[in-house]
Amino acid sequence: MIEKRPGFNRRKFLSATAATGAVAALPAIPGCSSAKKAKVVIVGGGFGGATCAKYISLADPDIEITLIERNRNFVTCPFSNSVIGGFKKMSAITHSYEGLLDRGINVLIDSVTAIDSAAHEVTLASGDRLSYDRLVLSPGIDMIWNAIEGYDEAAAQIMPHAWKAGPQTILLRNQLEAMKDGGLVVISAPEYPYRCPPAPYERASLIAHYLARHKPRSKIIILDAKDKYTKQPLFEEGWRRLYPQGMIEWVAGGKGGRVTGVDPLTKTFFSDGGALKADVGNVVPPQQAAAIARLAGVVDDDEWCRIDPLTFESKTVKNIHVLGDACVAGAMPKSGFSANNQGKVTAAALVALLNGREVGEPFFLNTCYSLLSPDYGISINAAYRATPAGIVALLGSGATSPLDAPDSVRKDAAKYAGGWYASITGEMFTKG
Amino acid sequence: MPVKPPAHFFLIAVSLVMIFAASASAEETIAVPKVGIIATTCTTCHGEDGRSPGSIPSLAGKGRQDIIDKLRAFKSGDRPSTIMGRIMVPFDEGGIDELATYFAARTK
Ligand SMILES: Cc1cc2nc3c(=O)[nH]c(=O)nc-3n(C[C@H](O)[C@H](O)[C@H](O)COP(=O)(O)OP(=O)(O)OC[C@H]3O[C@@H](n4cnc5c(N)ncnc54)[C@H](O)[C@@H]3O)c2cc1C
Ligand code: HEC
Repeated sequence: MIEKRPGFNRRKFLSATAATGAVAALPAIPGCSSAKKAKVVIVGGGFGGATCAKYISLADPDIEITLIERNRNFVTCPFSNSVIGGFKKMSAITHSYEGLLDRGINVLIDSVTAIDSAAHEVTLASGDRLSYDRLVLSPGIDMIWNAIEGYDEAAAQIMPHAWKAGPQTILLRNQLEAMKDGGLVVISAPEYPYRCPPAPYERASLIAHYLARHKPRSKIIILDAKDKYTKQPLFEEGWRRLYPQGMIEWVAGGKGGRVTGVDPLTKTFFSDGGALKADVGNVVPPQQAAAIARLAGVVDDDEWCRIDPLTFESKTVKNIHVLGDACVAGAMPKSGFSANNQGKVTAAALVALLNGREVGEPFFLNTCYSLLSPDYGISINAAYRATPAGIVALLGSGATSPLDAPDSVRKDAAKYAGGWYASITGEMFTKG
Repeated sequence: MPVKPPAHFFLIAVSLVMIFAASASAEETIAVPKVGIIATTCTTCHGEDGRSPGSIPSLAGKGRQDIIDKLRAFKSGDRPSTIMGRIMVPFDEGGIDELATYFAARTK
């Protein structure tokens, strides 16, 4: 299936990336022809890491795979807004690593605390050390505390971010349940880049779904650092169709929406627009690649990780691959779908590298479904390829659900969003 | 400079052509992704190996011609869809054929 095509020299691409430090096609690791030919250690059992582990083991059972994840169970951000909206249980978004263990993947519930890239070794909180031939980091994001003045870890116990699913999700849900009718919910949304561009607006929608039924005099204000946001016309149309007029109000960055500080004691948000006191305050703060990426030395000045788009190998440290939210994947948004496709491309690249074969040409899709109510779904999608300039969207491949579609189409999309969730989590967590 | 479209898979996007053309010379070639890596982008929705655990239809073991007919009809718009019409935009006849062959060969 390798087509001759005028235009783009693959070898030039490889040497160009090699010149910046990321070497792609390498010969086989010496002395690795026996039973377990090489060791891959994967940090983070989320959308990127679990998928990568699964797909390496599907492609080459002779590679020893160790997946290290700090939490015993993985709680997905996708569909956590449905828990916050009150129509899904935490158990429906919580997954165990049994399936991956049954596949023969070593799953260690532990935290990686240090990475010695010269010695090819990771250190765990338990004190254990593991050596690797190739290391994969898919550790997700961390919040940048105090980027919004006053918003630190302690403040997040009062004004949750709920941007990592788990106790934070439950905290926000409980606060909404405890809020009086007529209360004000304020959500602050950050500037790009951040995890899941449409999720603040999906969240506002599903909180409105709850409030419209149980606390109809209440209101939601989104204070946005941005002047526009993804699928905006579709969200606005949906809010008109689904919820009382004015229940959701969106404030653009240029119109006072940019939040610069909070006071957790009074749940007050501060922006150029003034001070706004909330009954429930949900702060989605600016984000960065998770801490372990910094310890590994793979983050750039902007706190994200640059990678070779053919292999996801770090541009700064050899033999460390970074994928998912932590990496800069060009035009791809930070989504679970993106991380899943990057996990597959990385798996294929690692299997090729560790077997001394040429790395194949990558290809990626992304689709972000958003629910505006349990029965009202919309989506945005695009296809991507790797180029010397990074990962770019194929022209014409990006589009959204149409405006003015009948309710039946929105209902089908909501049903298929659930189908997507079953499929992607099945890939991650079932034995297969 | 006119650019010939590839035989398979992609209707070349103008922006990509520009990027590729920048490093072009007559004897240079570009690799197209293998069907296996493209198919795994489908399985994010259609389930591992095309076996869906949820509401999106399974693809594994469906008739090759049936898949071809449906993908063509999604692409042309003859078959209404919530998303497949948009997903099919970058694929041409050759791509449709290879994807159909791939999924038809998976076990149900
Ligand atoms: C509210 C919300 C809704 C969303 N909805 C969608 C959606 O509908 N569709 C979609 O595609 N995406 C959605 N996303 C985005 C999606 O959750 C992320 O893009 C995805 O989780 C990124 O995958 P990842 O592998 O990079 O990180 P994660 O999935 O977060 O996985 C990282 C894992 O690494 C572990 N880890 C980190 N550091 C260490 C360490 N030192 N030692 C051990 N383990 C460590 C963490 O515990 C975590 O389990 C949503 C996000 C939010 C916040
Ligand atoms: C974002 C999720 C998603 C992705 C990605 C996706 N599909 Fe689909 N597919 C669907 C949905 C949903 C339907 C039902 C029709 C619709 O509403 O679009 C469907 C229907 C189909 C059908 C018709 C099945 C039947 O028997 O009715 C085929 C064939 C198909 N897809 C093939 C593919 C191929 C090949 C790819 C990869 C190039 C792909 N799909 C990627 C969601 C997806």
